[in-house]
Amino acid sequence: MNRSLFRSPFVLVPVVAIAAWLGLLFLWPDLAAGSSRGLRLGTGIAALVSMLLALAYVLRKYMHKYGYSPEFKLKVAIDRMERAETRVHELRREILRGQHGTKRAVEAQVARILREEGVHRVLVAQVLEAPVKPGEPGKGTPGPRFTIKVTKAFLLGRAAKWLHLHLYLSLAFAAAVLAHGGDGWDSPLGLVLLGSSLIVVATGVVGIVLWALGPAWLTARERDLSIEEAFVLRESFQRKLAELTQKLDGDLKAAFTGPDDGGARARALLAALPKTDAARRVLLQDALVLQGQWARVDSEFRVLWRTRLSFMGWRAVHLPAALVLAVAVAAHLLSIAIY
Amino acid sequence: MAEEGMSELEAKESELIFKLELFASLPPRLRKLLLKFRRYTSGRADQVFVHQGEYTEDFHYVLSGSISAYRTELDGKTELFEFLGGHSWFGEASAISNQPSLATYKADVPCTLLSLDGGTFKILYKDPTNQEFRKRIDERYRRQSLAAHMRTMPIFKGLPKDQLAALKSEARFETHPKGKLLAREGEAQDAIYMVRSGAISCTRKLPSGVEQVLEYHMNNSSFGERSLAEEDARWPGSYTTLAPTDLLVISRAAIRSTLGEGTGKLAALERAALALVQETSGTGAGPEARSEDELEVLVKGGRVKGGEALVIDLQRCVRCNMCVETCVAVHEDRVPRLSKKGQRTPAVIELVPTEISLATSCYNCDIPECMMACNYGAIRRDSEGLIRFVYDNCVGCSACVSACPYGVIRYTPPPGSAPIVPKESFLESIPWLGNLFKKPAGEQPADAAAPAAEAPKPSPVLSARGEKVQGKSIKCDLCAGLPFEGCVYNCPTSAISRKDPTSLQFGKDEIRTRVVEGSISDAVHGRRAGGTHG
Ligand code: SF4
Ligand code: SF4
Ligand code: SF4
Repeated sequence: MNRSLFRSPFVLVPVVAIAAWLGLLFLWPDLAAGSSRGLRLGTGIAALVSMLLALAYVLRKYMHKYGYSPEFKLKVAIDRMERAETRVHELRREILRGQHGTKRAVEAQVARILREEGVHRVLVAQVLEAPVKPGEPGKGTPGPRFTIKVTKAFLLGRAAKWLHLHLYLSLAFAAAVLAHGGDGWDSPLGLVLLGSSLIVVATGVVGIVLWALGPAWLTARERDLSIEEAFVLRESFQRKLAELTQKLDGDLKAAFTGPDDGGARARALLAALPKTDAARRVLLQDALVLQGQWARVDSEFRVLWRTRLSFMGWRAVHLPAALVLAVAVAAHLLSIAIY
Repeated sequence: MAEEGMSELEAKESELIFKLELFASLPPRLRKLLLKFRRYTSGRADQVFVHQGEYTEDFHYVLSGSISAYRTELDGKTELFEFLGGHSWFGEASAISNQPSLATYKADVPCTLLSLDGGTFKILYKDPTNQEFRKRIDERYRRQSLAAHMRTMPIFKGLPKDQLAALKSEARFETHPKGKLLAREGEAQDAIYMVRSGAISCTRKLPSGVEQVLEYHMNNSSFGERSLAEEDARWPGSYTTLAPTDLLVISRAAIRSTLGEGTGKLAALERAALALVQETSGTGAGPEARSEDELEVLVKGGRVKGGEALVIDLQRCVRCNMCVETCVAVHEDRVPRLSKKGQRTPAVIELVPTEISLATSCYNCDIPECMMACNYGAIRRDSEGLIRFVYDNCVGCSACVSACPYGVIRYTPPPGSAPIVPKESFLESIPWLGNLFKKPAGEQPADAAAPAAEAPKPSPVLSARGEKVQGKSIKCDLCAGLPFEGCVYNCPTSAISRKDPTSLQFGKDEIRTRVVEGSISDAVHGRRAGGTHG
């Protein structure tokens, strides 16, 4: 089980939101009716902000998937990266020679190198003080020892963190929506808003639980072939079989292009083919072997695909419901602006 | 060699270069190559050209001035390694072996160097029609650097200069292809070996029939010292080359006759050998008694070839394919460098806390077989130790594709020809609905592109060296120049990460049990750590 999906500081956001709402209800029970204008406005804004933040994950994902993220524009030439790396190496040597006394001086120096080479937005450097224990190589180093770790900047933060944001802000959104609506969900738009919000959040919760459990489940079933291998093999057998059947004629070809009978017709034809027709027999035998291999891989792929679908399938409801919700929220905002 | 189209100055330069003894024997084809890729470097006094430990493949010929090379040992002592006057050279060892520089080369007075990149140098050195060049390089190495090089071997560290000088003439150079058995387990040890380039594994057969790796040798490490320490020394395992390997071999008989049987000199060396054997094996009783060392060696085994592995935690990976799709997005040719289908290491081995897959992405090997296989100087190591392709030099011969033990290099049509996977239009990129706009036929999911799948197509494109380009080899470049590694950055479940193979271990006790049973050698042995053979 992937517990890391649930371990996040963002969990505090819905917890605080729900605790605040329950606290307010405890103090003023008639708030549940949602009659206060100020409360409606506050919860409405909270719902909108949390929805937009939750949507930011989706935006980040597709920007990266299709290469539109501004981070792609920061790309620098490799020779500049290498020049910076060489200069940082030189700095490491200076440290070993005891030419830099303080961590701050090393940090300033490495920052200068990265800036001068124009790679400061692509690489980040971390300077660590490395105490030398007696007896270790390098004991004779004249000055203090520092290590410089240069890594990629990962400017926007990893997608996994954004998924946490998406997840927990969506829960906060649900709390805010419920508070915002009070008992006034009787209009058609209100119903759509409430309904789609609940579906989006509920499918999201189901989805995340399935994501936590699904991989282990699929992996346990991937004993012989992984889903990727099964897919590639299946495609390749299919392609080869198609090429081979092109070389067959008449009935023989029809045995492979007609309805799938597990090779029964082809086997019957093979039995009927005279031994003297060696060339056609070999072709038919090869095609039968390929078909058998394809059938085995195909059945394995189907099992794995079904397993994958069962933990990815929630998206079939989640995504359309999210689209409906976005449209309903837009309509709701429009109606507020007009009336 | 005044050629048509050469200016007067170029003709004069060419005449001067090929008057130099080292280059005088080069045939016209190689002369042309040298003239095209030579560079001149000038340096002031005290300028450092190459640092010890630096990855460089450049070969330098000293045209004027003088250079001193210094080597710092592990104990912190720095000594003069060699002295180079005019018309000598350095860098050939790194260019041939792809290993970091053995010493720091510093100008004594202002110098001018003629420099060649490793690729060009290797073409000159390995050319079968030009043995003279190779002979001169090897001869000078034996004369100038060999003694200093031999001193890097622990056994010869304390040997007086005159004895070392006498011994170096007994050393012989051997070059072996990958997979060559050098010594068989149980046979008598009769020589000391030093690995100049390449790598060697020492393995033994357990009673169960399983082959167990005892140790690896590379980067100037040596073995066979026991032959001097004990009269009836036997090889503890079988020694086999893991890559094309250059060796320095000094036989026990040669050492004995050079230093003189029964003399104090020989006795001192034998004592040094015994101390060394005891130091490295604890009791000196052989590898059986070296469990702790073995563990280290075994765990490090994964690093012999591999640097860092791209690891997918299968308990976390939801198979969303975002890693592969990002890899497509960051490369202009739209071909992913990553394939999720990789070697799996099941959790039952208990070396790893969870089931993982070692995705096919470059390991930036310590011994990059791809680089050794490339005869066009199209693969090099950068200053960070990463293996990079120089696409201008790549002719698409696909030697690297077959050489890479992990199958991570892919073959694509030459640059400029149609991309394999066309970029999606905006409409196609819309989730779900986008499928309606996609062209149905012939499309392969990015993940399915198998390494080395495409057949080379003839093309008029020429490489920087003027050879016809038949295709292009590509591999993971760690998203060069970008502020992220796309696959790691965009995985929504933190399933994919880069890891040092040694960090995949559980506790040492657990490993020890497995070592004894010999069941983990596959798990830690680099050669299985990332291949795809689907
Ligand atoms: S992005 Fe992560 S979860 Fe998705 S397929 Fe790749 S490794 Fe698996
Ligand atoms: S391409 Fe293969 S051989 Fe070359 S460095 Fe990468 S993993 Fe090693
Ligand atoms: S680091 Fe970049 S180039 Fe390498 S596999 Fe990942 S996405 Fe592809």
